[in-house]
Amino acid sequence: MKKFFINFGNAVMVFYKTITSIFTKRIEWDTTLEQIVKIGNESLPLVILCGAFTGMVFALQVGETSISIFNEPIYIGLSLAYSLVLELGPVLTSLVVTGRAGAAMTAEIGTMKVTEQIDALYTLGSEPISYIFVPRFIAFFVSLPILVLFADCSGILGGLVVAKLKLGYPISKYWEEIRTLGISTFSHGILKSFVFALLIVWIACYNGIETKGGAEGVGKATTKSVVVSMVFILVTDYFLTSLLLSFGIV
Amino acid sequence: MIQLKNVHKNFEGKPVLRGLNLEIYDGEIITIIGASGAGKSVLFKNIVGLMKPDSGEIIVDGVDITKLDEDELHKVQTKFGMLFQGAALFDSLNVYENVAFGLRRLTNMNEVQIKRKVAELLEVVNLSGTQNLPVSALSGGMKKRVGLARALATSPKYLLYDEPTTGLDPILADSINKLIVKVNKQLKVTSIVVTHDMKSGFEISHRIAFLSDGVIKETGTPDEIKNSKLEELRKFISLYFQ
Repeated sequence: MKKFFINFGNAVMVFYKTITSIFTKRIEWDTTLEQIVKIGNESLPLVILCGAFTGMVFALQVGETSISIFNEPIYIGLSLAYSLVLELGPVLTSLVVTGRAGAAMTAEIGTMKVTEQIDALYTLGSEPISYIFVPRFIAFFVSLPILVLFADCSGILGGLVVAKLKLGYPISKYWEEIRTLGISTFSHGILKSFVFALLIVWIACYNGIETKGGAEGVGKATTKSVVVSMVFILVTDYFLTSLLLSFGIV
Repeated sequence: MIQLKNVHKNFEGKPVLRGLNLEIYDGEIITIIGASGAGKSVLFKNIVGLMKPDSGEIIVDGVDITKLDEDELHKVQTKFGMLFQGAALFDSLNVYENVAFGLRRLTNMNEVQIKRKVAELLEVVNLSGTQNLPVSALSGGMKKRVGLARALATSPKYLLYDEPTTGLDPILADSINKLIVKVNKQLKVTSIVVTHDMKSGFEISHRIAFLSDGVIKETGTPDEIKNSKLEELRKFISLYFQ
């Protein structure tokens, strides 16, 4: 229990120092840009693939269920769009990005730690907060919402393909339902993605810097980072949704 | 000058440094010898401020670094260059970027000046023309030499070498030893070396310190160490002189 509180305290300090460093110290923009490209390159194909198939299976389920109850497919676009933009887009994308970019990040920082590259930073006029954490925090904060938008779009298009080709659902009706989505609905999903981005990068960086031991330690830290991030995303999602709904953001 | 006064460091209740005292004079090459697990690397990290002792003072140029806050400590740390055991090169950067890393952050040089300086440093370590090589393409010896070039780049006052010749063949080890002496003479850098390599220690050092049971049990010139009456030290170095 004591260990948990020490770890939690250290993690909070890392978060606080990183956020204050963003506003008080020189930002390594080259590294930040590199990280944005890296996260995008690593995750975009997966995010699009997962988004598209989620949209497709969702359209299929809604269509077939509505056929079995009402003898015709109804509200495919509407139910798909809301589910995707409010929940599935941000949550699934965050889970995918955790497994791809978050894991890679922990492994990279963990390797730097066990090979003394982190120690080397201190004697070269730098330190891990400004050289490693800040660029990655900014990169995640920028990249994840964009990836969520890609997931939303690919999901909607995937759903459209199944709705039209498999269920014979009219395209015009599908789009009409999609157009009922308001700015507030989109902002609900995007706001969530900002919070999830901070969670993933915080957990990934902290587990990386706390890595001990050699290759085995890096493996353990990476696994821990992914598991903790996934649990936190799902738990936070509930409380975040409640909060956003209480502010009427839906 | 660096002074360590009554330095203690424990890990999970296990004492590693137990009231260690040591003085390191400006301009000298001092080698710290001791058995594996004696705490040489821990001592190193305490000197640079990468670890904080549980108690005691570490005074660098008159400033006790154990009492500094993070920002103040970072400023003192820039006085140090460090050649790590595994070189600790940033593997996401190439040779040029590694050597230029400190120059970009600690000097006001423009890119043209940095380019020139990196070329000069790589020449010093006999690695001219390797600027564009990725770290993964370097051999162990090349990594150490790039690490040395990187450590030298910012003209540190103190240069720490952690097992500089470990894992190198005798010829390469000899070239690293010569480099340490050359750097000390030409750049007047105070050099602190931690090594198991007795040949290296006795050849390059002005003074040798023997670390055992968490304290420095003997210090002296190589000749003084060779003729020491301390039984433990005599046993430790006897294999080398046989």
